Amino acid sequence: MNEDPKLILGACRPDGADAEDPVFAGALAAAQRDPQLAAWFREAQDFDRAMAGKLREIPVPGNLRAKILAGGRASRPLKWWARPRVWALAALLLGSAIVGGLWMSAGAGLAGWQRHALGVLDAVEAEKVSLDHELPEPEKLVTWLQERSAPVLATLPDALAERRAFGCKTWEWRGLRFSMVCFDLGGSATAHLISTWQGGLKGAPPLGHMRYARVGNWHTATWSEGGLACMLVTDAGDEELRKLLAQGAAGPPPRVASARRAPRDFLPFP
Amino acid sequence: MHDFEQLVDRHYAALYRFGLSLAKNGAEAADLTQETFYLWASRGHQLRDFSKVKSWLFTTLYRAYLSTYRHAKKFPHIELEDAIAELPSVAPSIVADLDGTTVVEALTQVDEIFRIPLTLFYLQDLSYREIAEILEVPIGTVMSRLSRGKAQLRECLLEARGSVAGKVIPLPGVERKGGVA
Repeated sequence: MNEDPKLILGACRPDGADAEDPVFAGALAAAQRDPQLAAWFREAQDFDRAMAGKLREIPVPGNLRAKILAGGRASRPLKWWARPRVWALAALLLGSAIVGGLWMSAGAGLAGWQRHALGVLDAVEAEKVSLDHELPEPEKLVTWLQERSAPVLATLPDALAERRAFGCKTWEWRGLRFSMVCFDLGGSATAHLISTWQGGLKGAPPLGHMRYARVGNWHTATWSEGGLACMLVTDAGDEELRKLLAQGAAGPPPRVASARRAPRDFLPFP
Repeated sequence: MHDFEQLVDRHYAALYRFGLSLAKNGAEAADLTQETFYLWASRGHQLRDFSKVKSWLFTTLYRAYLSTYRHAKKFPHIELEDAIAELPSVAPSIVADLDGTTVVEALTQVDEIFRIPLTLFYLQDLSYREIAEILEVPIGTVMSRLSRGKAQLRECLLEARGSVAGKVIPLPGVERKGGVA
């Protein structure tokens, strides 16, 4: 018996989806001429059909769909990213890439959780994911997050606290809970404070070190504090980013508090 | 948003099951699935041909898995013999009689290089051509890996079945070589 038809027919799905594929035509014709091959093919299809059925029986976690769609269940989609701005950003990014190679490769130098968080931010930007709660007062958003035991700075940096907010969001990724508070910096510029618990996290900067990075149009500052890893992201530029982190006149770094986090001692990341 | 929900409803279960076969862990499979849709939400607009969305999603999950598990590189492109692998005889009814967990465990015992195309094949959402695109290997390689994968799977099923000799039904025209199970 020629083995080649078996190799080909073995790739033929048992639900008939490949019936029109010409690649199988020759092998099927061979099966019609060869009773042994035909019997083999019938058995193989029955086996494949049984296996496919078993795979469909694998239960999917009941909350997975809800988690994926969590953002989409917010009251309404945001309107703060007007289409023209998206195009303007695209043009700006392209220009940067052409002119000076200023465009860093996406995620370069960032930890996995940071790249993930920026992906969520991009999803919000694209209006594929909505915020959970929309308010202009930062302190009320912080309270709202704390009431839900979300990781968040209890006291925002002074310069950031003075800005107008427009919403917040929480989500989970790889067993870690995240929060994001979004600020309107005026014009079309925005800033986003993203926080997650330190526990089990890799790639956060050691205590006392502020790590700056740029990914595309996003300028990021990342630091660890009291059990939280925080990342401030803005498209307003590096100078504005540093201003937002200012804590009054040589004040202390942002303090951290949370209902879920008891110790306030600052521990370096593992 | 509505389109996004439809997309999720259509593909998230299959993606989860694919993720499960890769990571062998439900929580990580869920994470991979979530990450895949987040990436779609942020980058999906870059896909010009929406008919390719299914392949895009599976490819993205696969790459996320490779990235997460820090594979030094994708599975090396190994040209296997094209000769059909000898298939241990396992009657389809035996597969049907086994519980889903046992079957899935048998599948996870298959070498990863074969298990990935095999899972995509059994999910029945993707053709061999699409599987080849996702894995970035030639069509012939997909066929070879499916063949080898099925052979391994049958052996694993027989092992899972334990004392199965009495229930093995020899196939007509197929000579069994060696003592499987």
